[in-house]
Amino acid sequence: MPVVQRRKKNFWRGPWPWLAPTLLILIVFRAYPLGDQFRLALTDMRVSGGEAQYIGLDNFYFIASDPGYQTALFFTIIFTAFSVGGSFILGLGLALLLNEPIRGRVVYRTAILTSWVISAIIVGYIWRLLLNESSAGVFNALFDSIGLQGVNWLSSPTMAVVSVIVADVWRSTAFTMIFMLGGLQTLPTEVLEAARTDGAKAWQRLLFVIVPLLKPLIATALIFSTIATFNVYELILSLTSGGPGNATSTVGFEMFRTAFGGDGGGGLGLIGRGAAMGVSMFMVTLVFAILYIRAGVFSRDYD
Amino acid sequence: MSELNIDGLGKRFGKVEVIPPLDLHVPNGSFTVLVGPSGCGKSTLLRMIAGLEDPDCGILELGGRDVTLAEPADRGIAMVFQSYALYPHMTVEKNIEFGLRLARVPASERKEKIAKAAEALQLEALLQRKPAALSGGQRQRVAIGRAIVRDPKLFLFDEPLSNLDAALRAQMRVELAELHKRLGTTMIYVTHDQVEAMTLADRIVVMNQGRIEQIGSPLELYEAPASLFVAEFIGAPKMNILGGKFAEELGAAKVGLRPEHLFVNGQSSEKWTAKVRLVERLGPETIVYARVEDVGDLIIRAESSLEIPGDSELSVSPDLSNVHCFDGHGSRIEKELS
Repeated sequence: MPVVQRRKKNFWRGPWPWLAPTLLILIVFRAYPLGDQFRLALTDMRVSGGEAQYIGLDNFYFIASDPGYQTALFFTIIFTAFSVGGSFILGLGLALLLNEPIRGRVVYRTAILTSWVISAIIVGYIWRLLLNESSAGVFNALFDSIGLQGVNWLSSPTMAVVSVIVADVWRSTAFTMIFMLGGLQTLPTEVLEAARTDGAKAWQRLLFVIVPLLKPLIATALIFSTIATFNVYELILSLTSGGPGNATSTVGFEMFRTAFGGDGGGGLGLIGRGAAMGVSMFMVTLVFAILYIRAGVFSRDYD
Repeated sequence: MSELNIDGLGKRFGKVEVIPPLDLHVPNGSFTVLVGPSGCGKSTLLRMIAGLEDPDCGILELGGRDVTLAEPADRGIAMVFQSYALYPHMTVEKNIEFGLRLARVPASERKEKIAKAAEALQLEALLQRKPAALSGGQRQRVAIGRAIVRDPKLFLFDEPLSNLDAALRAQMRVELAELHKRLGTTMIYVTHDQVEAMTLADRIVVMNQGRIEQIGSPLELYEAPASLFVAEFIGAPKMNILGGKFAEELGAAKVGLRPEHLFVNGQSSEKWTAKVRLVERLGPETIVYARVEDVGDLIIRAESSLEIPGDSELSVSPDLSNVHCFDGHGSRIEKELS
C-alpha cells in the first residue's frame, strides 16, 4: 500500500509570520493597555509621580459614592440615548434619500461624510463658534438679524445639554448614513419590486421589508455608535468642558479630567481613580454589546 | 374581462431606444409568451406592464382601464420573478399572506386563501419555514402561491424557471400549464427558451431588438415563420438556412428547411451527397450534422436506426413541399400553390 507522504510543517510557510505584525501591534497598543488599566485601577497612581500603592477596590468604592460621577453617568445615558437615536433616524433617512437616483448625490454624500472625518475636538470648536452667545455666534447673530432674542446656548444647563446632543448628532449622522447606504445597495431589487407589486406603499416597504432585511447592519451600526457615544469626551472637552457646572459632563470626560493633569479642565491627575472609571465604562460597553448580540440581530435570513 | 391592450408603448434608457413604440393585444384568458434572445426588450416590456418601469410613450389598458402610469399594486396584476424574490425574513405563510394583509383582507379569509393555495401547490408542510430552508422548486411554488392568492386579473412571469435544473423545469412547466387551465386567468410569460414558449403558450410573441417579429400559435410560428429570425429562433434543432444556387432556383435569397424535412436515401428529384460530421443518438431519433458541397451545413433529423456507411457519406434529399423561402430582407415569401 502506498503511504501518503505527510508534508512537513514549516513554520515560515504557515500563517503565523503573516499574522505576527498585526498581532504585535494589537498586543502592544490594545491588549496590554487594557490589561494594565485593570491593574492601575487597583492602585493610587498619580500623574505627579511617587510610588503607586495597591489599594484594593478603594477607587471603585469612591466612584460608586461620588455624586459627580453619578450625575455624569446619568447625563451620559440621556446623551447616548438621544444622540444615537437621533443620528440613527437622520442617518437612515438620508441614506434612503441618497439611495434614490437624484442629481448630484455623490456631492451630497461627500459633503455629509466630511462631518464624520473631522476630529471630534474640531467639531466641538466649530459648534462653539456657531453657538457663541455674543453677536459673534452665528445662530445668535441670525436670530438678532430677524429681531429675535439670542439664546443661552451653552450657559443655560438645559440648552447646553440640547446643544451637545445636537452637535453629536450632527457628527455621527454621517456614520450611520454610510453604513445604511451600503446596506441599501446590497438589498435584492426584485424583493423590493415584489413588495411594490404586492401593494406595499413606500413606508410599508421601509417598515416591513427594508428594515427587517437591514437588521444585522442596523444592529452593528447601533452598537458602534452607542459605544462611541457613550465613551465620548473630546467633543465635551472642546464644546463645554462639562459645563455649565457639571451639566454636560460625560463619564468619559470625568475619566479624562480625573486621570490627567491640571490645566484647562481642572484635572486631578489621579490615574488610578481614572483607570477605575475606565474599567466601569468598559463594563457598561460590554453589557451593551452583549445585549445587542443577544437580541439575535446577527442571524441572517439570506442564503 | 382582463384583456390587455398596448398601444404605441415605447421605452428608452438615455439615448438607447430599448423598445420602439409597439402595439400588442393580449386576449382575455390567453397564455401569451414573450420570447426572444437576451436584450430583445421582452423583460422591459413585461416590467412596463407590471408598472415597475414607466413607459416614455403609449397607452396601456388592462380590462378596458387605462393603467399606463398606475402603481403596480393598483393594476390587479401579480408577478413572479426570476429570483423568486421571496421576503427572506418571513415564513412561507407570511410571504403568501403579505399582499393580503396590505390589502386589509380579513384574517379568516386570509387563512382560507393561504390554505387553498398551499394545498394546490403542495406547500402545506412548508408553511412555517423560511425561504432559505427551501429548494429552488419549492421557492418557485411559494412565489406562485403569493401571486395566486391575490386573485389577479393578469399574471406576469419573468423567466420563472431559468434558475431551476432541467428536470424540475420540465415538471414546473407542466404545473404552470395546469395552473393556467384551472384558473383561466390571462398570463404573460417571458422567456428566452423557445422550448418553454412552445410548450406553454397558446400565443407566442417573438421579439427581436425591441420589435415584435411575429405573433401566432406555436404551430403557426413553426410551420410558417414570418421572418428568417423567427425561422431560426423557433424549433430545436435549428432550421437549416441555405443560400446559394439552391435558393436561387427557388426564387429566394435564403431558404429554410427543418431538420425533419431532409430525407436520408429519399426519392426526390434533388439529391445531395452529405459528408457526416457528427451523429447524436438521442434514442427516439438520431440527429446528423453533415456538410454538402455547394449547399452548406445541414442538420438532419433521422430514424434512430439510421446506419452511417463506412465512407461517412449519406444521400440526402430535401422535402421540396416544405421549403420556407425568404427574400433579401429576411421576410417570408409566400409560395404559390402549384
